Amino acid sequence: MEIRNLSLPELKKALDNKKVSSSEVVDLYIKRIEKYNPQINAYLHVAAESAVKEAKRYDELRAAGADVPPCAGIPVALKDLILTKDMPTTCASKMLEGYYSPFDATIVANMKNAGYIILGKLNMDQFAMGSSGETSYFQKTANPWDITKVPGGSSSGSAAAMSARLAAVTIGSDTGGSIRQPSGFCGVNGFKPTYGRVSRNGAVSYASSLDQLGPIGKSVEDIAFIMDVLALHDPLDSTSSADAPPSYSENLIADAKGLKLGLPKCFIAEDLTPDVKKAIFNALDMYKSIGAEIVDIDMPFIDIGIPVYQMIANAEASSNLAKFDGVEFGYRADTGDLNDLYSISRSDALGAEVKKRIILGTYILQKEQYQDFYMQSMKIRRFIRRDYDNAFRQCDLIVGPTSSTTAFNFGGKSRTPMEMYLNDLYTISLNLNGSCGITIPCGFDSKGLPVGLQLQGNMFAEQKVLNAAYAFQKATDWHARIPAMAAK
Amino acid sequence: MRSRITRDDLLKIAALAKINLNEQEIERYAADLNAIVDYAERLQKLDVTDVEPMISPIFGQSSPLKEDIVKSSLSQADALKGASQTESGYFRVPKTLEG
Repeated sequence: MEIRNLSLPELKKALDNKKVSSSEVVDLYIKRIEKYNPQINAYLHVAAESAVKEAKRYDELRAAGADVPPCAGIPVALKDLILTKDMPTTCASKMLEGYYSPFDATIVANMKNAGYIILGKLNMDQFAMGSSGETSYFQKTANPWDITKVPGGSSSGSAAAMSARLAAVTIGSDTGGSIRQPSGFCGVNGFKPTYGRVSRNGAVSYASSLDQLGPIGKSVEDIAFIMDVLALHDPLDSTSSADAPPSYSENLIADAKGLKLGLPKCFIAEDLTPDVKKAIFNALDMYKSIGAEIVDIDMPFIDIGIPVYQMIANAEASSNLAKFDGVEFGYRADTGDLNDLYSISRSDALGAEVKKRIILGTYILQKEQYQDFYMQSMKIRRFIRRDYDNAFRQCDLIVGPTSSTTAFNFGGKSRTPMEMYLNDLYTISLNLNGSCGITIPCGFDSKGLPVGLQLQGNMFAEQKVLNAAYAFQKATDWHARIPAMAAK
Repeated sequence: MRSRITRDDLLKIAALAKINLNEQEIERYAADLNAIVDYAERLQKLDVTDVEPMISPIFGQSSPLKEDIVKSSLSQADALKGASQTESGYFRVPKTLEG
């Protein structure tokens, strides 16, 4: 039995039936991290001691025949913007180096209550700003499929750690594609839940009207399994949906019969590389063979989503990141002047991309630009919502690539800012709409790098998205292909 | 067409954002910001008359209010834990008023 390849339901069963102990599972992952993390730099902090202790506690409880929580002993690792009381949270920034939160994020508390063991914290683009993982202050995470390539971002460590099997499941965050794009690049499954479905209390904010936490896993089955613990109402998050969701794992059915998948014209854009296009069309053929129908749809406002996103995300970021001023937490410059304390602390400790986005956001929110850029963008965002509403009158789910290319070289997209931002075309409109979507592996390019297929659903249509993705995985084995370092 | 973001504009915005820029950053950020703002000019071409701004994906639908019950929250010690300078239970900052 290869523990690292077990699905989460299988792992739970093996732990419940004492086929494997929690300590064995945690030890295995710690050994894997020791061996492979130096190659890919996915972890910023490994909580080996507390994980081993927690595993031992569950083993003792199980041995004594005592009750244990349902997921006791399953190791999870977190993007380093999710607050944890007993381990540092840095957002991969010098600003928060060595910072310990006084509380656990709601999802961390919920996962711990359910028995999950927190293995550590994962690298990311600094404050989640970036699409390649390269803006981290501490280290550059590499793609497990080819360590000369980026893992994508901003949840770079979460996708890479999952791909290399350095945790049983990981958590990321998605503001404009930051779960889906790196999951696509690393050949794993990344799920962005509907805005309001998963509590964000204790997740360091980037753009509050777009941010969402979600899981990255080996399979759709694993995503559904952990979503049952993540999708709980939280009174501490005013955007958290009060409606109790059904159990995604219990209702997971592989059924694509009669499913209408809408393919927007703009998702087969000119910049789509031929290898990605080919893999996507092969995936669509597979869907047809299991009973789905592909319908052409028109979503004319998706393209304008790029500048709309730029304006809204950066405006919200400039406001959210004002709290990093050297006073309450984080880096503090040594100066006797209050204004200098703010500005020197921020200038010294925030990364270049972060500073640029704060300045852009500040520009947009000035009274001279506010109407033209910020208010205009929020109105055009309504057009994007209408595009989605229209689309879901014609189809059940929207389908397309997760990104236009496969994983690129380090430094490969940093020449002009627009080049990097345009790469987000396929993912950002979903955040602007607020609904849910997934990326699943659907093939490889000629260099052997994974291609991600994206399925987007309506507001709170999590089950529909997961079932359609599950149907694909029941008919194919792309999700079971793993990079060499995960195979041993 | 909007006027270019000049060096002076950039320094003014950066000061509002409490960020100091060195010469290299001034040059790079001015170029990047102008590129992004130029790209965003296409937003102005759309007619948004009578369109309600979409402030949040769930605005007006969810956002339930908590019941107004007094509960314990972060202790003073916990709230101050992340600060590098505190005094008598307060965050300490340099003196702001003369006299």
